[in-house]
Amino acid sequence: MEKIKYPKVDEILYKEVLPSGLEVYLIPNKNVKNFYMTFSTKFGSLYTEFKKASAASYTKIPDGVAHFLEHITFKMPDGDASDYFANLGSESNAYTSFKVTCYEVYGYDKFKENLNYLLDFVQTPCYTSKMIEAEKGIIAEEVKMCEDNTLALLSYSLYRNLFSKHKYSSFVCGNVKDVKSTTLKDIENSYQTFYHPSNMFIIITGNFNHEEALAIIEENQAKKKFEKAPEIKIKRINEPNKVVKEYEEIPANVEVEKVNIGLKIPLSNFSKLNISEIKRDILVNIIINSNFGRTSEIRERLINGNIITDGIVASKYITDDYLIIELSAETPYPQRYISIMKEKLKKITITKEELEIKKRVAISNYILSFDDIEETSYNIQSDLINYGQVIHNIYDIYNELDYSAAEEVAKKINDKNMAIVVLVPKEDK
Amino acid sequence: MVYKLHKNGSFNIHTIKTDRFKNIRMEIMFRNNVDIASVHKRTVLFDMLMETGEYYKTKRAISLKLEELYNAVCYATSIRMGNAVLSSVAMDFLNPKYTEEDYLDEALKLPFDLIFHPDVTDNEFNDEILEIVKTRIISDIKNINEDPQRSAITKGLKAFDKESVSSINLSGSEEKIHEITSSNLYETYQDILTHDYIDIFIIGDFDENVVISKIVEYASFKTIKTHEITMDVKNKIAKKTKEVVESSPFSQSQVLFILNTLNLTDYEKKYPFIIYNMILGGGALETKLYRKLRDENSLCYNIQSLFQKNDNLELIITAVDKDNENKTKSLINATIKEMETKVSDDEVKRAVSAIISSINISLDSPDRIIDIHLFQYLNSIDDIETRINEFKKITKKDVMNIAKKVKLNTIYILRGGEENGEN
Repeated sequence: MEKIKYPKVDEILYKEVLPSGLEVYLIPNKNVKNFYMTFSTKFGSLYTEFKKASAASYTKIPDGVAHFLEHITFKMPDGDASDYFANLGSESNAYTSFKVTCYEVYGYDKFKENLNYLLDFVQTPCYTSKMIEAEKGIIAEEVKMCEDNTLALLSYSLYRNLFSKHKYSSFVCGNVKDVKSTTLKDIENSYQTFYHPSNMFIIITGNFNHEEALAIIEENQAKKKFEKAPEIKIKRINEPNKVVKEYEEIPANVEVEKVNIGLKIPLSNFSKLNISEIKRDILVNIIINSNFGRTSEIRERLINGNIITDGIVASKYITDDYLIIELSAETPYPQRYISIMKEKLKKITITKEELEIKKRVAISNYILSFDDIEETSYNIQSDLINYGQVIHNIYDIYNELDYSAAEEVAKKINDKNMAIVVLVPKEDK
Repeated sequence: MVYKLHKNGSFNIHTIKTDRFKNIRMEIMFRNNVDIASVHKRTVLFDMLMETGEYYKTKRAISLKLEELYNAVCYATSIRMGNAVLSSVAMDFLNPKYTEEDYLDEALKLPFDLIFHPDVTDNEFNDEILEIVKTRIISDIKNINEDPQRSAITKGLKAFDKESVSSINLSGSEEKIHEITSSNLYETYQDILTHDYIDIFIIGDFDENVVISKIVEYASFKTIKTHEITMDVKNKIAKKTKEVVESSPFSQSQVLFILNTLNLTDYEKKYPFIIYNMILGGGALETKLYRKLRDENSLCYNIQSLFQKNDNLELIITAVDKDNENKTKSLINATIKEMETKVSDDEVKRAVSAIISSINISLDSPDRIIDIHLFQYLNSIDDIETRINEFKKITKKDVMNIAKKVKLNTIYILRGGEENGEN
């Protein structure tokens, strides 16, 4: 088992890769009472056209199948998997995002039984058409809940206007039509392709013994037969730089207008900077935080001028080819807000002092994250999905960040490809 | 983990010393009876105290200071506990032992500076800042209407009894917020400093003597309080179930059941009714309501029951298609009835396990450990060992007996799926 020490904190990550290709990541923490175990597959809502490398053509599935599969994976021949965990006194759940489906168990007792069953229920596909039909009503109600969620509407409306081809514009759970059209074959194809151990990983954090955990996993997996690891090909999507729609007003169930500004910045803009992807992403976070976060001058100006009611929510994510920056706020004066933000987006900067203070913030967040076993696990998952490896030396990376690189990254953030969505109160309200 | 209570006359300090966490968290808690007419001023006041101060003339100045303290977090919240209201100023920061700097003193002082040195001139709060805070709170009040579930619970409780303390919003209404002035808010400030009970909790790895002496130095609370605070709310029991339907622009209908609990003893509230609620709909994925409505009838994504212990109310809420409202109501009614006669040993065992699990989960979080000690101090819960032992003694007979002590008061439906919003 590979032993990796995290700098500055007394925490150790143990890593093992099983013969099937399954990756295992273990971070024990004797200061807590519980353990948190997740079993994840690199299959999210974005992957709707795929094939095994040997197949002649791509398989196309409706939007939302990864999420649908997550729901019915809990069905076992003798009932629902969550019952088993409840009887052990543990909590089980699952979630699907753009790039991953994650099954999770939170418990304090009977570690071995919990871990074995987590592996078993995810690796026991027993899907029937009847089961799928019964689940459609439940998922359709979940879709409607998403449609009624103002924040989801604000984000997905922006994605629809940013991306012409990418599946970021669809709800993770698809729409009601997608749900109704999902078939047993869609589910089976997806399971066979993406649920091979070589496409999956286990992360366990909290109070447990890492040697015992690995022994349980190895013994469990040795009893199962897996086909040869498939090489998965996801159909490449060539997304154009240009946004679909630069501006849209959408009548919605809102009391005060909400604006979401999205920047679509090609990652190729950063390729000549000679910095790693992780440094690029950390610097982008620091820069948008410094320019739009709680200590920013623009936030103060907008609040004091009664232009926004609370802060600006600034976030970023990385697609295959783009850095997307999302800046949302609630404002009774959307046009004034947009005008001030456009002006600000023309001069994204950072000072040396700001960089130093944000490094301090990042280091504090890094140290504190180990107290939370879910956050520790999520950080590993996020590294694996975004960088294909755990970035255990992030403390050193923070310390290495230099001002000239930050300045260069700041210069690359621009509003050349920008979409704006405004949710406005419905007229009949 | 070592808990100690240090009585200090006008306030108490509760220290919880542990090396399990990398942060230190302090909560300064203000506690009093709810005054329905003025409780919204308290919400505005604590928001004001976190916005600016005598030493920090802008919110940005506070935020910069917090970042300098290794991204410390300082915020205020107010919650209602039945007839009582609890406002808390929390300060959460990285233990300085993980850095090369010693900022413990500054971190402990900051929240007291904000409390005792507000942005006040001639007994009036800063008018401009008050307007900013009022705008934000009015926006929060309006935004309840954007969230289907919050909107249904808020409106449903009003339909249940608009005079009851159980149905108030701590932020009040838009009209009430507008009525607040910088001078009457200063009166509220003085009133709270003088008449609220004060408890200061601090958890983390620290030198107890140092921390206590700092808190005593900065906490200038003067008055000793002797009045009684009662949390228990005596809500009206309906002779006949009320059903109220209102329209909404949402795509789903929210179905809310409000039930009175009938003369529960202190023990029943702490133990058998908690298990009753877990089996009915308070647990995660394996409750009776979840099985009946989601698994067997595919009606909803989620259904939950909530025990409002101090209000003596049990709420059930779900979101369904408009066409399934009647079926939903009838299945919920049948499930409530079933609790009187059909509860299995397995269901009780599972509920007890879930409770013990949630107790264990809470012991991994500094803020929840503080809550546990607060509620123990207020005699609202027993110590953990007693709780676990008492929960383990509960039988299915206890649960079926307690099931007879609920009475449906109101069914509230916030109807969706009607594009024009007409009923």
